[in-house]
Amino acid sequence: MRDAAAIVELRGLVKVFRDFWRRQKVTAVDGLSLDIYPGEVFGLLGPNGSGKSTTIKIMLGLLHPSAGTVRVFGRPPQSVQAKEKIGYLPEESHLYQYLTARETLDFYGRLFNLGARQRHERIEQLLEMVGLAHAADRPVGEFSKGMARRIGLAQALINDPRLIILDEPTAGLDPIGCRQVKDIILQLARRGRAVLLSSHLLADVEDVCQRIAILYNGHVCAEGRVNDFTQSKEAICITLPALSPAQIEELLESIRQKVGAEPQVQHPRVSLEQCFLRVVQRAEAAALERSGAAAATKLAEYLQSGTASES
Amino acid sequence: MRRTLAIAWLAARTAVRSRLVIALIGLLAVVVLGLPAVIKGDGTTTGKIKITLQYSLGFSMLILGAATLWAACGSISQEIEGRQIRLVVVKPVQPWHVWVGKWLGLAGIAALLLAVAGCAVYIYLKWHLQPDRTPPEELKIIVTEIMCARQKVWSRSEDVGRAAEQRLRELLQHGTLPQGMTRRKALAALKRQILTERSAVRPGGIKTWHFDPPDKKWPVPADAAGGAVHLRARFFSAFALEKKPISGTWQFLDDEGELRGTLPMDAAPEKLVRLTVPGEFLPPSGPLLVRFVNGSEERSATVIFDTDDGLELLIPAGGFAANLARALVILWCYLALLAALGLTAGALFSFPVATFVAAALLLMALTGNYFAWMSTHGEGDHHHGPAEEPGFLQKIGAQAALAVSVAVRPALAFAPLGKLADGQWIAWRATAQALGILAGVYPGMLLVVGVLGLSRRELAAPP
Repeated sequence: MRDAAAIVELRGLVKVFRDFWRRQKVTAVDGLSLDIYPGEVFGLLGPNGSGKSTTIKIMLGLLHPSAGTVRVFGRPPQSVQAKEKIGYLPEESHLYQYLTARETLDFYGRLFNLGARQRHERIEQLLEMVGLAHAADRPVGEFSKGMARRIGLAQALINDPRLIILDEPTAGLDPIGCRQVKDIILQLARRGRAVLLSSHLLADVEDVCQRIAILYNGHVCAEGRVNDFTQSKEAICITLPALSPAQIEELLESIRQKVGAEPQVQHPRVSLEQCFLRVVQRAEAAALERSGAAAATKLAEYLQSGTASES
Repeated sequence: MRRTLAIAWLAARTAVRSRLVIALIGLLAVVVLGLPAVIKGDGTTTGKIKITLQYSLGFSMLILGAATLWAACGSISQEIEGRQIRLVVVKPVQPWHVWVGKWLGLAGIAALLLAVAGCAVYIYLKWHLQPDRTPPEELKIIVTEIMCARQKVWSRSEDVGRAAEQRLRELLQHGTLPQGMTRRKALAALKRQILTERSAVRPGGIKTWHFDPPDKKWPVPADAAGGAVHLRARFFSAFALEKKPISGTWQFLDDEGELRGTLPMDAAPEKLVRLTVPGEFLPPSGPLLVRFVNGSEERSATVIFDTDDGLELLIPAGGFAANLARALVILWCYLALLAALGLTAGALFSFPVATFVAAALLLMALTGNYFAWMSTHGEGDHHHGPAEEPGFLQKIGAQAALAVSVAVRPALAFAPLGKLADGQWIAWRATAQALGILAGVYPGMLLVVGVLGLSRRELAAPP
C-alpha cells in the first residue's frame, strides 16, 4: 500500500474561522498533517467540533486553509483534474428535491462530462447497486433519509472515483443499508480505491477501516492501524466447537498446569447486527414486499475495474 | 460545454418546477389580454393598438424583468444557503461553468416567456384587425402607421457654427455677453438661437431641408407600394393664441434643383401633419430636397418648425412581424442583462442582500442620468443671483453620478417599444448592437466580477 504515492497529502493544515470584522472566532483545524494512500480505507474519528468535517471541506476546496498545504492527487483541491477523480458524500445529502433519482444521477454524470450511453449504463447499475431501481423515477424530495443517503452514495460513485470521501455514510440507514455500504466500501478498497471515512459510529469504522486518525480540537491525537489500537497483546482467545462440561474441565486443568494462570471460559456472542440481518434475509426469501429501498446485489459492474486484492 | 448545459438545464428546470413559469404565464395572459380591455385610451382602434403594443409589452417586460432579477439573485445564493451547490462545485466544474450555466438557463426561460407574450400580442392584434371589427379607414391608418416598419430619415443638420462664432464676436465687441457665461455655453446658446430663427418661415417665405437616401438610394415606387413614403411635419404658428390654419406647398426636388412633384398643405398648427409622398417624387439616388413654401399673408401665418423633430421622412423598410421579432430580441437582451446582474449579486451576497443590491444598482443605473444633470445644472433658476459654487462633496457626487451615467448610457440607448408602437423600423444593426452590448459586453463584465466572487467565497463557511 505504502509503495504508491499518497493520494491526499495534508501538511500543517490550519483553519481559523473569523467573523465579519476579521476577528478570530475559532480555530477548527490546528497544524493537521496526514496522508491517504490508494487502496486503503482511512477513518477520521473525533468528537463533535474536532475538525473532521472542516478537514474534509478543505480537501474538497469548499473552504480555504488559513495555513498549510493541501494536495489531492498532487494538485490543489480546486483543480478540475483532481476533482475528476473524487467522489463525495456529504454528511447530509443536499440534493435537488424536484429531480428524480435518475435525473439526479444524470445531472451529476453530465458534470463529469460522461457521454449519454455511459451515463445511462452507470445510472442503471448504480440504482441497482444502492437498491433504488424501483424508485428511479420518484423525486428525491419524497425519499426517506435512508433512501436519500443511498442516492447520495450513488452520485458519489458516478465517476468511478479513485478517492471516495464519505462523511457519516451510514447515518439514517437501516442495519441492512449499513452493512451494504460497508461491503461496498470494502469492495472498492480491494479494487485500489482510497476511501476516507468520517464517522461517529466506531463499530462501522472498526469494521472497514485499516488506518484511523483521532482528532481532538483540530489536532491529530492518535494515528495508526486499527488493529494496533484494538488488539490486546496480553491475552489470546481460542474458539472451539461446543464441548461437554467434562471435556471443558479437562482442557482447563491442562491449561492451568502449562500456563500457571486461571483461564476464562465464554460462549461466543452473535452481534445484534448479524442477528437482524439473518431475520431480514429470511423475510426476503419469503418474498415480502418492501416499499423502501430494496436489498443491493453487488458492486456496480463499472466499479469492478482494477485489481481485486485480499484485504 | 456539457457541464455548462447541464447547469443551464437545471436552472431552467428549477424555474419550471418551482411553478414560477406557470405563475408568470398566468400574469402575462392577464396583462396581454386584460390591459387593452381595461385601459380606455382615446377611444379609437388606433389608440387601442398603440396601447396594446406599448403597454401590454411594457408591462410584460416589467413583470418578466422583476421575475428574472429575483430568480437570478436566488439562483446561486439560495443554492449556497441550501448547500446544494457543494455537491456541484466538488465536481470538475469551474465557477464560470456555474455562472454561465445559470445565466443560459434563466435567459432561456426569459426568452420563452417573452416569445409567449410577443406571440399573444401578435395574435390579439391580428384578431382585432379583422375587417368586421375595425372600420376600413381606421384599418388603413393602422396598417400604414403602426403595423408597419418605416425607417425614419432625418434632414441634414444645419451648420450654424460659423454664424454663431460671428455673433459671439459681435457680442464681445459690444460687451453685451452676460456676466459669468463661458464661451462654450454662449456658443451653444447662440447656435440654438440661430437654429430657432432659421426654423421660422414668414408668409410667402421658403425653407429647404436636405435628405440623404438611406443605404445610398431611395426606394423605387414599386418598393414603396407595400407601404407608402410619408412626410411628417410638426410646426407652430407664430401667433400662439391664433390657431389659424396654415396653407402652403411642399415641393420635392432632386439634387440639381429639378422639381419632381408638389403636395398642397392646409393644416392646423401644433398637430402632427402626415403627407403621403408618391414614389415618383423621390429621385433614384442622391439627396432629396424638400421645400416648404408658406402661403400668402391672407391664407397663412409665420410658421415655426420644431428644431429637433420638425420634419422627417418615413420610408417603408420591412414587415411588422419581423419588426416585432427584432423588438422582442432587444427586450430579451435587457432580460439577459438583468439575469447577469442578479447572478453576480447572488454570487457575492446572501439572497436578501443580493436582491437589495441588484435593485439598488438598477435604480442607480436608471436615475444616473437625472442625478448627473441635477448635480451639474441644479434645481430651479438662478435669476435672483449668481449660482453657488458647489462644495467638495457635491463635486464628488456629481462625478460619481456622471460616471454611472456614462457607464450605463450604451445600455439605455435602445427603446424598441416606442419605435414599435410608432411603426418605426427597428434596424438589424440596432438589434445586433443590443445583442453585443446588452447580452455580451455588460454580462461579460458582470461574469468576471461574479466568477471572482464565487472563487474567493468559501461555499461551506458556517453562517
